[in-house]
Amino acid sequence: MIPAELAAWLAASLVVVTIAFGIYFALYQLLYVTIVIRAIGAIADERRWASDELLSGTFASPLTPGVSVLVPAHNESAGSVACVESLLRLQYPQVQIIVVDDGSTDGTSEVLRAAFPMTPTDEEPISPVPVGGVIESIHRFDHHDALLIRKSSVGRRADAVNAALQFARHELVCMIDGDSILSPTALLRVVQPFIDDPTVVASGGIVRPANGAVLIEAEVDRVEVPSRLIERIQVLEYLRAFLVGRAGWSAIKGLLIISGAFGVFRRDTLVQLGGLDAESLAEDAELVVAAHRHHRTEREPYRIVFVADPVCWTEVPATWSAVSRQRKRWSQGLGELLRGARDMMLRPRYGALGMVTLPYFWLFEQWGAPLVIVAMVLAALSGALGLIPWIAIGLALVVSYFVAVATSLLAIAIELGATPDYRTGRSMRRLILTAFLEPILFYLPHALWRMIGLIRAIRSTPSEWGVQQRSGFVQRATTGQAA
Amino acid sequence: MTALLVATAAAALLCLALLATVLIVRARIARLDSRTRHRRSEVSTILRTLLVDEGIAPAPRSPSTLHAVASVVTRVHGEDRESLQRWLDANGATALAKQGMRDRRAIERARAIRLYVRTTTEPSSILMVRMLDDPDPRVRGVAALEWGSTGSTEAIAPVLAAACRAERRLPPLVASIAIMRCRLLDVESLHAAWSTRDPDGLRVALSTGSAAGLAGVQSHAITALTHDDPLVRIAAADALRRVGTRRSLEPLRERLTLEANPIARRHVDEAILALGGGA
Repeated sequence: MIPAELAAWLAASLVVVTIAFGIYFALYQLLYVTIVIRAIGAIADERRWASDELLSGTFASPLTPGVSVLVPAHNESAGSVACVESLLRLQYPQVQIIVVDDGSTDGTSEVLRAAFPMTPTDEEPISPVPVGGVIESIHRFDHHDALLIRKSSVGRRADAVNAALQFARHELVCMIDGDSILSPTALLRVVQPFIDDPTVVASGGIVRPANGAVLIEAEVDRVEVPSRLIERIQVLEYLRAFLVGRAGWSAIKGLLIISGAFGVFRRDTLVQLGGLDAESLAEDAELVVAAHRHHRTEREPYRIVFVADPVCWTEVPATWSAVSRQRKRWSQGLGELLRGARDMMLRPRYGALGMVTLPYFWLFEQWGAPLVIVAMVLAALSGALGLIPWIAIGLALVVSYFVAVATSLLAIAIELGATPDYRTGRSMRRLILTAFLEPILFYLPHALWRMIGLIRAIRSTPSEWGVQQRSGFVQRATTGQAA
Repeated sequence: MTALLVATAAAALLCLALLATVLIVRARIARLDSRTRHRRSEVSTILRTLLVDEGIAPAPRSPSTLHAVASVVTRVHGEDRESLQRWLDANGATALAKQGMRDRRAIERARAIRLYVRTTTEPSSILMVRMLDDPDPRVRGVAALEWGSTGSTEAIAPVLAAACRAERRLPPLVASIAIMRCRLLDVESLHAAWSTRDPDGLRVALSTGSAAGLAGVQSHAITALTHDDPLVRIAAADALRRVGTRRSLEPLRERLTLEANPIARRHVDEAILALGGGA
């Protein structure tokens, strides 16, 4: 038993801490609900205004800006051919493809050279962008406007993107991952905001996990929610993060991240910013923050937007260990990003980004994981010391469990209304079941991974390209033969 | 404790409500799909009666049917088109469209423009110019594209003027798409761009004029090679690549020696090569 005075002091402290957690939790939910409401409005609006005629007009117009697609690839031999094939099938008038093999050891370049006829070239860079690795060889595709650049790796994706950016000659550049598949009209759709509004400097599309998707001639033919739990959990996460989160942040003009897996930028803006920050782990978000900072400082009108329609399919990690490595890296990247952007936080001159997005990410995304763990430890201590009845702790956990499930169910409802991808009965059942399982099985390990990433960010631990075991896409020939 | 119990019950109810929402959304989508199938069969009957049987088609069950039939108008020509337009007009499409163009909701104004342009054989210039000045940029875009889709030469000057003006501008790409759909026969139709020297307007005029093969664009493109905006210089070089003659080689070579922008240099270089000035 503990002395009465100490017990009283502990009880009082716990009341204060409980109230603080309550306010924190309520504030988080309030902001999230606001974002969701804005996201629903934005997605509904986008669907109402979608026009296939505008797309065909864009395709035919001589003024449609050309796009250079930059594909950094590191050990992507399993998915790189499908990725390049999907790019060659894009419905877009002028596309230049630049694949950068960043020191792969699995024969990514060899696989590509075997799949597409190409010849060595001594192409000169067009734009001066700092690149760390040494360019070893450049090959030009014989039948397409495409380059394959082989360079030594400095362990950063951003360096590979910068190497590709040097050779980009079109007005817009699109960055995708070496294992991603773009839907045929994805580029036309993600470029639309640049057409509608000349002040748009960057635009991002939706990224979806493609694990288990069936491809016919490099085009996603059928997609189901995968059967493995860890993959299904990531499908749910992507729905929450992309469909709801980014659409909402974009609607309040505070978009912080345009995924490196699918984003389009004005080439001149990128070159002006010196390319991607090769020191950063969150180079995609870093770039968006740099663009916000640049245009706000110069007092130039600009918009950074998210389009909830064009889809990029990407392979997500299929094992718990791979997800763990990825999340630690993401969390470390976020920590580094927020440290670099602390001068923008709570500064009205940086608009919604400075006043809402950055504080939100700092308070809830960065420090959310450690706070959850601290709260759980405190709750367990209080229970063990008899300061709070176990039943009360249990009920509090049940409340947060139901709220977490509700968040996922809301995302599923929005997804159902917005796109036809997961409308089959089996996909629906799997998603709903995952919504109920995820908080029990995933939240705690995820919080721990995020905390480790945060510690690494605080200690400035060096880190490199994430190693991910790729299984590639399920290719099906038109004859129905599986490959 | 009571508060926690209430919160637990509320959270559980919220979950149940959202689960129900998912199921309702799914059922609603299924109902919408079935409604779309019904409308498609109604529209098919109307189209078959008007275009194949050449009989009297039944009246539409709802305004959505009018919009659905109107969407087919752009895909047919000659007598078929006239027949559909007559049916639409007889069933109140023109009146409905004119009323819709004054709607407070931008999406309704856009739908009304589509219905109006597809129902009438010659849309009123006054009405279309007014819609090109709509406060909502998306409505302006729809007005330009729809007017352009009629192929009318009359649309070119107002659309280009809308891309060159200071306020309520039309995005240059939308203007170019609209103009490309019109019968662009005369370089003077692009007068607004040559006179204002607005960068966006010039890009539209140079691109569309050269894509239409108008030789008169050459002199304007040569002048535009010295424009401050690199995008205009790129458009000028591209225009000369398309419609330039050997007369353009000298100004292009001169530009090449001065050009600092690497992308513009590449375009100028390509134009010189295309005109046979490589050696």
